[in-house]
Amino acid sequence: MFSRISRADEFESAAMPYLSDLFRAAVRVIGNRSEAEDLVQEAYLQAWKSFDRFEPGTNCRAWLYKILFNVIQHHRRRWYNNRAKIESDEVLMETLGYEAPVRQDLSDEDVLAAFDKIPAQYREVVLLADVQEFTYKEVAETLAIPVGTVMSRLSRGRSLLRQELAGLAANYGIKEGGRSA
Amino acid sequence: MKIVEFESGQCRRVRSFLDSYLSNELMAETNLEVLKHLEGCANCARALDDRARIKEQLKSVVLNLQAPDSLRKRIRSDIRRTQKSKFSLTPTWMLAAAAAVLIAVMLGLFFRAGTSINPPKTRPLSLVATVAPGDVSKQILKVGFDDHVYCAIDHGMADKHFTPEQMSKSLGPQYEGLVALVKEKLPKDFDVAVGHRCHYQNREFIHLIMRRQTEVVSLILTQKNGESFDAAQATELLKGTGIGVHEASWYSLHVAGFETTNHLAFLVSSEGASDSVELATSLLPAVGDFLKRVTV
Repeated sequence: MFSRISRADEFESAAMPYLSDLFRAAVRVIGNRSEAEDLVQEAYLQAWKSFDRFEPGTNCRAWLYKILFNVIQHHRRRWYNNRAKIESDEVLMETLGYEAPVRQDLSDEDVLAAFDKIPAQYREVVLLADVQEFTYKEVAETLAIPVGTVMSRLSRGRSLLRQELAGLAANYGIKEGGRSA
Repeated sequence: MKIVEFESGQCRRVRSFLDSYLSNELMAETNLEVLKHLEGCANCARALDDRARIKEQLKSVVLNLQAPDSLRKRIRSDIRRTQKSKFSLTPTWMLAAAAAVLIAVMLGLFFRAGTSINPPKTRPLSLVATVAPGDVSKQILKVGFDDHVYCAIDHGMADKHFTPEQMSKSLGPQYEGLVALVKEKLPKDFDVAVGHRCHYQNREFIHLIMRRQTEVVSLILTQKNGESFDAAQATELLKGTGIGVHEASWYSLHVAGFETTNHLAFLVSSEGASDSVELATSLLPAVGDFLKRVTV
C-alpha cells in the first residue's frame, strides 16, 4: 500500500516537470489547445500505468514524448484518417534554389502562424529537433521513423517555414509600398 | 515553389550546408569552406542570419506557452484515482499491510526506548571518500566528490532532465550562461541534463549534470571557504594553460579540480571513461574564464 503511494509521488516528481514541455508540443502538433490538453492527459495516464516498465536512470523526458506521440498518432488515425494530407517525402529536393529574404521584425504571432501552416509531418520534426533540441536519434525513436527521414523532413520543414515567412515579407512589402505611394 | 536560378553553384552548395553549419555539425573542412564563402557573399550571409533568427524566434515563442493549472490538476486526480481503485480491490491485503506497519512501528518504539531521542540524521552518503590526514588537495577535492554523490547519485538528480527555463531559474542570472558555455565545449553526444543550485553540509553548489547514455559527469562550482590547494601537488593535466589542476579517484570516480580567486571548480566523471581527460581539458579552462567574470 505504502510503496504504491510513494510510487505515485515518484511518478509525479519524475514526470510532472515536463508537463508544459509536452503541452506545448501537443498544441503545436495538433493546433488546438483543448484537444492538446486531452491528449497530454491521456499520455500521462498511459505513462503512469506503464511506469513500472520505465527504467530509472533512462531519459524520462524522451520516454514521455514517445508516449505522447503514440497517443497523437492514434488520435490522428481515428479522427483524421482521410483528411490528413501527408506529403510524400520524395518531393524534397525541388525546394533548393533562390531564397527570398525574411523580414527582420516579424512578430511572434507571424512566426507561429507560419509554423502552424507547415504540414504536420515536417512541423513535428522541426519542433522536436529545433525547439526541444532532441538529437536526430531521439527524434527518430520518438516518431518511430528512420534517422534519414528525420534529417530530410527537418531540412524540408525548415525550408517550408522560411518560404512561409518570406511570403509574409513580400506581403508586407506590397502593403507598405501601397501606403507610401 | 518557383525556382529562380540566379545564384552561383557555390552559393547553392553553401546554402545546403547552412543549417548544419548553425548546428555545428559540419566537418572541419566544410566548415572552413562555408566560413570563407560567407566572408565574401552578402546574400548567403543574410540567408544564414535569417536561418539563425527564425530558429531562435520560433524556439522562444513556442517555449513561451505554459500548461494550464487545470490540466495539472486533472492529471494528478487521474493518478490518485487509479491508485485508489487499485487499493479498493484488495481490502484483505490492506488490512494485513496495516497490521504489519503497526507491528513495525511498535517494534521500532521498543528498540528506540533505550536510546536518547536524537533529531533525524541526514542519510550517510552511499560512497564515502577517505582522505589521509594532511592531504590538503584531496580534502578539497572531496568537497566536489561528496556533492556529486549526495546530489547526482543518492538523490537521483542524474536521472532528471531539466528544461532550459528550469535551469536558468535555478541557476540565476549570474550562472545561467554556464549551460551554453558547457554545451559548446562538450562533445556533441553529451547532453546537459540538469543545471541547478544544491546544498550539502551548509555549502551552496552550482551543479551541472552532463549525460551520455549511461555516463554521468558533474561540473560543480562553489565559493571558497578559506580553502586553498597546495600548488606543489597540481598535476600535468592542463599544463600550459596556467591552471593548476588537482586530481583524485574514489570508487572508480575521477575528480579533477582547480581554484580561482573566489571559487573552487570540480569535474567528477567515471574513471577510465574514454575521454575524461579530454573533457577536463576542454571544459576546465573555459570554466576558469567564466568564473573570472563572476562577481562574488
